[in-house]
This record gives sequence, C-alpha cells and structure tokens, in this order.
Amino acid sequence: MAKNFLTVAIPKGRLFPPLMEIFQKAGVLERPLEEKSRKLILEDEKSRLRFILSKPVDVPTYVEYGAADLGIVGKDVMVEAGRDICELLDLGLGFCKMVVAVPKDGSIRQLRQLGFDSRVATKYPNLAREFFNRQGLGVEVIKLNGSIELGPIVGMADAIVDITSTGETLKENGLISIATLGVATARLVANPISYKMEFPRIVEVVRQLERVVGKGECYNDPDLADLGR
Amino acid sequence: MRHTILQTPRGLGDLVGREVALTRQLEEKLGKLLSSWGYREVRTPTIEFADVLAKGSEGELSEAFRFVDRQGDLVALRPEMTTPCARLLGSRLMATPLPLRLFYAANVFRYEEPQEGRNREFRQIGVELAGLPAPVGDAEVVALAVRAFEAVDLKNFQFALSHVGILEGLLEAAGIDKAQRHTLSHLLRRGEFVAYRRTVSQLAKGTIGQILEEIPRLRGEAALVEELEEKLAHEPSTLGVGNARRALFELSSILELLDIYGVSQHVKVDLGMVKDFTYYTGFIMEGYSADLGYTIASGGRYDQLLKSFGRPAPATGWALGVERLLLALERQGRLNQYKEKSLLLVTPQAGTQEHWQQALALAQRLRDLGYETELNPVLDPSRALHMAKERQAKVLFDFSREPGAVFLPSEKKSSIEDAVKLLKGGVRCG
Repeated sequence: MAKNFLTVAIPKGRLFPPLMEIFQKAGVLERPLEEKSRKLILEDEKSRLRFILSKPVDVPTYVEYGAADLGIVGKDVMVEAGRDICELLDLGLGFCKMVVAVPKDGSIRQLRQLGFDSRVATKYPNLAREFFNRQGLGVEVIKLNGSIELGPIVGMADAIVDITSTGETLKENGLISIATLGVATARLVANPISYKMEFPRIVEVVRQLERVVGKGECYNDPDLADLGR
Repeated sequence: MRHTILQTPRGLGDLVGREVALTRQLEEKLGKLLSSWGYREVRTPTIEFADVLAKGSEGELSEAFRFVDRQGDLVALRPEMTTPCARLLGSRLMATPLPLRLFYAANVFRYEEPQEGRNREFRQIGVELAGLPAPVGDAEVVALAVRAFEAVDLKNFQFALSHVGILEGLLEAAGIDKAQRHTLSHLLRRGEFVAYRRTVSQLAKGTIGQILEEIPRLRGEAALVEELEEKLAHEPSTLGVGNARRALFELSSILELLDIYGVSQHVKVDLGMVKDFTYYTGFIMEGYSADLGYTIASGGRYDQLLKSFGRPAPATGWALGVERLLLALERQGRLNQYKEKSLLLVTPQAGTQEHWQQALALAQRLRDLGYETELNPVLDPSRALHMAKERQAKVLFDFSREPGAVFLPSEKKSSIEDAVKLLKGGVRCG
C-alpha cells in the first residue's frame, strides 16, 4: 500500500454507523464515510487514511496479511480467527455475550448434560471446541454459517453457541442460555509490524480514540470476562 | 490425515529453480559478510537429543517435532540453532579461546499452525558471539545485522531494541508474583494490549503502575530510555527498580555504541517487546521491514545458556529468516535483476551414433564457456526446434539433420562455428 496513507479495515453492517460517530468525535475523520457507496476503498485526504470496507469476518485477515495497518473487529470474530494481530483498544461498541443455548422445552438445563453424543451448532467452531474441551465435554461441533438457531429446531443439534446482545433472537426461537463463554465488544487492532513501523501515527489514532471511548470497562464479574482462547 | 501421493505434509514445501538460486545467492552474500567480520561457519545435526534442545527453552519443547529413535532415545528436529551452537561451544569448541564468533545457515523445524510467513520448516542464517559481554557484544551483533540487511539491498528496515530486565524489573518492583508476570508477558507477546492494560491496572499502582500500563506504547528514539531512567531515579530503590535501572543503563550503553558504529538511523527502542525464547537474559532485538507484516530477524543476549553446557560465558546473537527476507526483497522489487541463465540446447539424433562425437564435444565447449547446456537426443528431427522453444533455449545446436544452429526466438539460422563465436564474445543472442 502506498506510503503516507494508513489503511484501516472497517466492517460493514451494524457497527458501521456508531464507528463513524466515534471516528468523527475523536477527530480522526472530518466527516463520516458513505457506507452505501459501491466503492470498496475510500480515502480521506485530510487525515491520510484509507478505508477498506469489508465483511466483519475478513477484517483480521486483511490486518494479519498487512493489507490493512489497522482494523476494527469484534472480539468474538477476532478470537475465533486466532490471527497474529495486536489488540490496541476496546471501543466498547457492539457489546454481546457468547452463550451456549438449548431449547427451552427440552430436557437439557446444564452444560454437564451435554456429552459425547451431543451436537452443538455454531458459527464459531474454534471457540466452541475449545470451550467444551476445557469443560471436559467431548461434544461434536457443527459449523454453520448463519441462522444457527435453526440447528435445534430442525433436530440437527442439541445446543448452539452463538452471540446474543439482548436475548431477543434466542427467545423468539424458543432457546435459553445455560452458560456464558465470555463477552465481546469491538476492538481496534493492528498489524504487528505496522504497529512498529508506523508507530507514531498509529499511537496518535489510538490516543484520539481513547479520549472518546475511555480505557473501556473493566469487568470483575467472571461472567463478564472477555472472550479468549 | 488423508492425502494424495503428490502432497507434502502441512507447512512443508518444495523450492525449485529460481527460488533455490535466489536462496543460494542470498546466502553467499551474507556468508561473505559474516566471514569478513570473523564469524566461522558451523553445521550441526538436524536431529539432536530432545533434552539437549530443551536447555534453550526451560525444559519445554512444545513446538518441536519429537520422536523416539531406534535405541529408545527421545530426539527432536532442531527448532532453532542457538542451543546447538551452545552445545558445540561446550564440546568440540571447548578448547577454542573466547571470544568466539559462529555463524550458520540451517533449516529449522517448528510444529506450529502454518500461517502466512510461517512454515514448519524454514531456513535461518544467524550469528552467535560468545565471550563478549554487554554492551560491546550486543552492539557488534546489531551493527552486523544492519550490515546484513544492507548487503542484500533491503530498504525501509528497522531494528527495535529492548532489554528483558526492564519489564522484569518493573513487574518485580510492582510486587507482581511470578505467575501473573508470566501471564502479563504472554499478553504483551501476543499483542493483547487491551487485556494487558486491564490486568496491569488492577495489579500495579503509582508511577511503576503507570509506566507498566504505558509499556506497549513506549516505542521510539533512544531518548525514551533516558526519560524512563529519569522517572525511576525518583522511585525507592527496591530490588526490582534497581534491576530495571541496570537494564536501562545497559540498553543505553548499547545505543551509544551503535551511534559510533553509525547505524543509529536504523535502530529504535521498543520497551514493550517480549520474546518467545526464555533463554534471553539481556538485550533483545527484532528486525523488520515496512513491506512485510512479520519479523525478519530476531535475537538477544543469553548469558546463562552456555553454563548449562559446561562453559559459563556471556553470549549474544541473532537469526534471520531466509524465506522472509527473500519475500521482503521480492516485494521491494529487489529480485528483478535476477535473470535465468541462457539455456543452450544440443540435439543429436537418437538411435544412431552419427554426429554424436561432434555433438558431445560441442556441448562440452559450451559448458566450458559457462553456458547452461542441455544435451537432449531427438528421434524425430522435426521435434528439435519445438523442444528448444518449449524450454525457452536461446540457441539450438541441431545434429539430428545437417548440423546447424538456430537462434531463438528469432529462428535465425547460422553455422555452428558462427554461433559459437557469438557466444564466446558474450553477445546477447536471441
């Protein structure tokens, strides 16, 4: 990527509008970017920033390969991807919990009732597998790419591992949460080498954003601990 | 794992043609430089006893390919070269006087998840300088690393320096216990700064707490070291503070020497740096280029390792990843000057002995002139030209019909003697 411009991978979707607000408040951007634009790369001449609009799950990839110096990604996606990137700042946006949920009408009420013959559907197979391994539960993890709630409804899975912010979707699909893997919010991440080579500029962006979002919440409640692997 | 017979195991791959030639060229250049600084090349076995290799990693060899040999000994493929060099210094080189400078070019093996820029087998070139303490030994190896990057024409590169004693001393000064220290170093190494800062803000207060919280951002010029020395000067001199101050002093002495070496413009300070290897006791370093998203070179001082091989002596060194360096050079367009050598093709008729003596003698002459020359018999004389085009030969010497030469790609014909004359003069043909 050309000199002078820092490249930032931004996730399209629900995080986009609040992100623009924070960027503007922090003085990182003068005016918000147009999400609806068909362009995949947008440049802000004044701040010398270039933005790649990408699918949220692809952000860690762009950053690890150095195609983007910085990126914004949910901690859930970041931990699942398990890539070599630096996590610089908790932006506090997009709070959600990663939970194990089961059918409300079923017989399962506790994690321990899931065994080697149980199937768990999820978009986060790495996180789920590691969580169940730590619990000593040898369940079968099935990767799905969307509408995870369908798994138990059609009888393919006994439980799901998914993110929930209000619990509304779970409720609508007759599911209840029986365990929390951790919580996730949006993070500012950096390519480790960019962080070193472009340090003065990156740390300036970090400090600007930090003035708006603060240092982030510190949860003492283990139920509210960050997701991790 | 299911695989076809055309596959290699995960994270392992082949190099062919240009890739091998480039690797060799790079290694020759670097080898020349390292020898000229008095470093002697060593080769050690690919397989060593696992407990020997484990001396370098506090008994852990979690990333090594380990297996049991036929006598029942646990052995491993070397995951790095510093420990084998240390073993060598305590055994065959026991009587060789210090300081002693070694270098190597060797494949190393790590059972890690293959990722961009991280294979399970990769090649390293590195140096070990035994018997010169800090700061002189460290300054020499850093300066040599700068010269190594320059020697291969890498642009846009930097070396970051720190000292393991700074973070260790500060954590000690904050009264953080060993288990938590380990967790915090791990978080820093993984770049998990959010979790690091949260944990540290709960564990450490006051000036030391503030410094620790800021550590991932303490990166920049040599002045940073002085600033930190200043801040610590006002702290009660506990054991931890004392250790941190000693480490800072050592680091600033190295930086001063690097100034005299004239390489300061390539050197930064990065106090948040944490290394993978546990054998480091002093300064640590990383080298990278803006054009590659991961570290190219890495090293540091290890004053305790040689002792475990019966030869207590200070030592320092680094290793660089050959494939990574080549990739960075490729991205900077520095490998374009590499040209495949011109190939010449001599084609006698298969199935007869006619003209063979002439063809063999000619092939030898061309080889003696320094040309890559292939001799491929053809059954059907009309195939000779096709074969020459297929392998992008510059000149075809065809003996399968009336002997003659053809230049490619122009297909200009000439007599064999005229063609040889042109080649002798080094005239670019084609």
